[in-house]
Amino acid sequence: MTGEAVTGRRLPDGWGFLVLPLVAFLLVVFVHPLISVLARSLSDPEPGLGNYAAFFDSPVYLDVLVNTFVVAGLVTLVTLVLGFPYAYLMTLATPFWRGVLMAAVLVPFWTSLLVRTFAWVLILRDTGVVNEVIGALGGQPVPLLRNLAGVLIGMVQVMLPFAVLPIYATMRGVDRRLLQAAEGLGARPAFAFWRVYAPLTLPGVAAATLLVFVSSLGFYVTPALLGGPQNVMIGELIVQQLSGVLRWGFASALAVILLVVTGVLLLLAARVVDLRRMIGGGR
Amino acid sequence: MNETGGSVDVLGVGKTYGQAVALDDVTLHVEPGEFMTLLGSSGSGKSTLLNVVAGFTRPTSGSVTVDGRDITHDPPYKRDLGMVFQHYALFPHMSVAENVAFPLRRRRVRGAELTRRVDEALDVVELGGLRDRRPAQLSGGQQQRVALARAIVFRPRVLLMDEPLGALDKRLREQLQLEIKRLHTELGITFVFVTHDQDEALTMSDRIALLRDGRVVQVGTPADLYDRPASRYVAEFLGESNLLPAANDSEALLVRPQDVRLSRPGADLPAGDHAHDGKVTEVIYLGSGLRVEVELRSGGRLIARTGTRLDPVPRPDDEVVVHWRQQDCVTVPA
Amino acid sequence: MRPARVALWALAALTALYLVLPVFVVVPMSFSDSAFLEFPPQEWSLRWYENFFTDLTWLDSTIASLQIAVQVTLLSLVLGTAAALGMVRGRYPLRALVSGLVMAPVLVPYVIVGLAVYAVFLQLGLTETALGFVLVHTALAVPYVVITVSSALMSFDRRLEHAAMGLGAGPVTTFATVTLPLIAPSLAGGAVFAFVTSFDEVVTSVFLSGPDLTTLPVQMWSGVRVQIDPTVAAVSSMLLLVTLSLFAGAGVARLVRRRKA
Repeated sequence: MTGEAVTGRRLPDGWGFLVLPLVAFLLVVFVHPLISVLARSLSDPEPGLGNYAAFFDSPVYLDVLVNTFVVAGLVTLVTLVLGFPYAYLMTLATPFWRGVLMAAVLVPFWTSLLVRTFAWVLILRDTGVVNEVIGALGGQPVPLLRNLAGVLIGMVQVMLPFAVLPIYATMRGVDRRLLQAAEGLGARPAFAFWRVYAPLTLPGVAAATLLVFVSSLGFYVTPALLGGPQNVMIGELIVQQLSGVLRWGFASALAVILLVVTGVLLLLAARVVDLRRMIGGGR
Repeated sequence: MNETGGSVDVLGVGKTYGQAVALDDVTLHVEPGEFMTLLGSSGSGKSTLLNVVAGFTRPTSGSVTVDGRDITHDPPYKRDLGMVFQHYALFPHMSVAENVAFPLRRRRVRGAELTRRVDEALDVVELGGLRDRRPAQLSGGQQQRVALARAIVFRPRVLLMDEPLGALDKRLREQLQLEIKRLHTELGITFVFVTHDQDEALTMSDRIALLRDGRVVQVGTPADLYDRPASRYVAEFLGESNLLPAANDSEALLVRPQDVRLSRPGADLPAGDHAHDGKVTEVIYLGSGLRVEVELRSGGRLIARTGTRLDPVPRPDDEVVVHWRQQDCVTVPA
Repeated sequence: MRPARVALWALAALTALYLVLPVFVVVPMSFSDSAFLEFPPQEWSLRWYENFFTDLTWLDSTIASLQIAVQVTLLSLVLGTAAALGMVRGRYPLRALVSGLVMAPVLVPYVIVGLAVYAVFLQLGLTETALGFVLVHTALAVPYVVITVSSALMSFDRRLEHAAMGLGAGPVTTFATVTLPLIAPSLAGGAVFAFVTSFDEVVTSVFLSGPDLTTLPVQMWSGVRVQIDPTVAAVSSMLLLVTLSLFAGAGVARLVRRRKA
């Protein structure tokens, strides 16, 4: 819409005011609580940076932070390794099979998180489906629950749609004739794929990486149900500090740390990827 | 339907967008029942002017009156003008009949009266059989007819049309041009029609207002503009033209290609004809005639349109004499 | 097919199975007679379904979840649609900041939102109240409404509104008769998102729940967290059934619409 057709937009119609109710609502319900968390982390039990000092002085807590990053990193890696070829295949498949592949991505996307996590508990526990099958085949039970394997299996399944959809969206916009052109110019297919096609899908891959990694940092439900004491992530630690020992100030400091890490990553990434499109791609 | 049209007066209207001037002090009077065409290239301000009359664009200065009533500050929906948009702007979620009924419902027409008038309007545009279709199921020409029916169904005194035929192919355009012309005669209402197509403007209009850079450069009948252009720009905008140096530098001589004749050197010319020697540089066969380009010995080029049965048929490099009657050329301010 | 293509299909097929299949394990197990939900079930029974429909804690939490989700849907539709209209069509200061604020609830980890809101709502007495849940869930759901509706508005042909106004419709009539019907599919999409976001929300709800008010996900959460309550399998199966029928319904509706057009 350019030129003369837009003139209606110039009428003083007050559309802008319609943003106000939501802004006010979010300031009260969302921003204000976040600010009080920051305030509390600096004032409870006593004013100062004590809560932050306690965090950075303790190897136990730092381990949790490191573990959070490790888990998020592993989840991102596995998600990309599975999601990239999946998305690529979607661009090659016939409309019918593309629909099937898309449905497979969307079904878990729309299924309750708890239902999915619960299903993993039933499958992965020592008396679960996997170990029953292994047992029936004469093997030894493999511990899959309350450890890193369980967390990864559960979280990757949750995050896969968020990787496949943006990558697929980008791939769909890449002109496949470029591959033919490269091959016509003498490049072997693998070379053409990795040097011509793959770089063009980078925006989607970047969006997927960011979305998966940042979301993984803040996970609570899946690690709490599928992980063990060795793999506590920062989200779980926050809840523990609150429900177990009522250390409000410390829990708030943890929340601020997680929020700052998330925010910094997002701000850095916002220079590279369009956040709105990224969230939209998750639909 | 025997409405009479309303008169439209645009008085000193200006419109600026920041630094850019879209309309510069435009004044234009449209007679009741007249078919007035706003003609110009893109960016000339013709659509802006129409939008000012329609109420979608608020002018920076000046006023618009319809039948003497000042509507400059009325919103579009209070102006009671019919409007046909370039891309039809049919409501995709409504049937043809619902689209046509829309302006009537806004005017509280209900029941049998509503049905009757919708049917009547659809009959006028010869679409009676398609009343229950959705716009997406219609061809471009049919959609444009629905847009027409919707614009006239509430019997506006003035109908505004913004390049209504721009999206159609040539054959359909020509057919709809005639239909719109017929509609204008039948309804007797005032039409203000925007187009960038000079042929369309010449065919349809009672009068044409030619715009350039936000100003009206000439208003007049098609014959006025074509035969007696007020400036070089008008002459060149409408049809093909040959402009030759005149006696003084501030003027030019205009000869239309169809008035130019070709003769062999030394042939007898009718008395009083202007004549120039030249050499044929190009001959294009157009079916309806020939388009012959001649390089004049005195410098400059000239286009002649002739019949195909000239004897002999001119060929490139032929030496010729081009000539025309005194009354076929006019002086134009340069 | 080239070997690479075969490998690609194999990997994708396994991924698809990994995405879809595990969820359905709960269905057969929900019919198990045993409290241990062993696999495969030895005896079949409907006792866990019976348990759900006779246990008030389960029923109450389900009703609470539905009520909250409906209110969240309505509130986020109103706030989100208004904001989308403003953001797409309006002029207002601090555009980037406003967009960031509106999208922030999706990006901030829910644990943090839960903690923050819990602290504030405790003081206001809003924990364990439907209002408290509705406020928080709306904050989390509204970005999705804004996204769906604003993308519809961006592709909306405003010449249709000009046409309506030129034909005599005032701003309100134009919005009601032209704009709203045409963006209705997106509103419906946004509504589904909002409903699901609220109905499915665990983390913030765990903070706000208590004896006075517990939502279904929180009830399920406590049925898995410490010791497995087999009723969760029955609930999960029923939720799956609802999800799948919605999916199928949407598919059929799309098919029917395509036939019609």
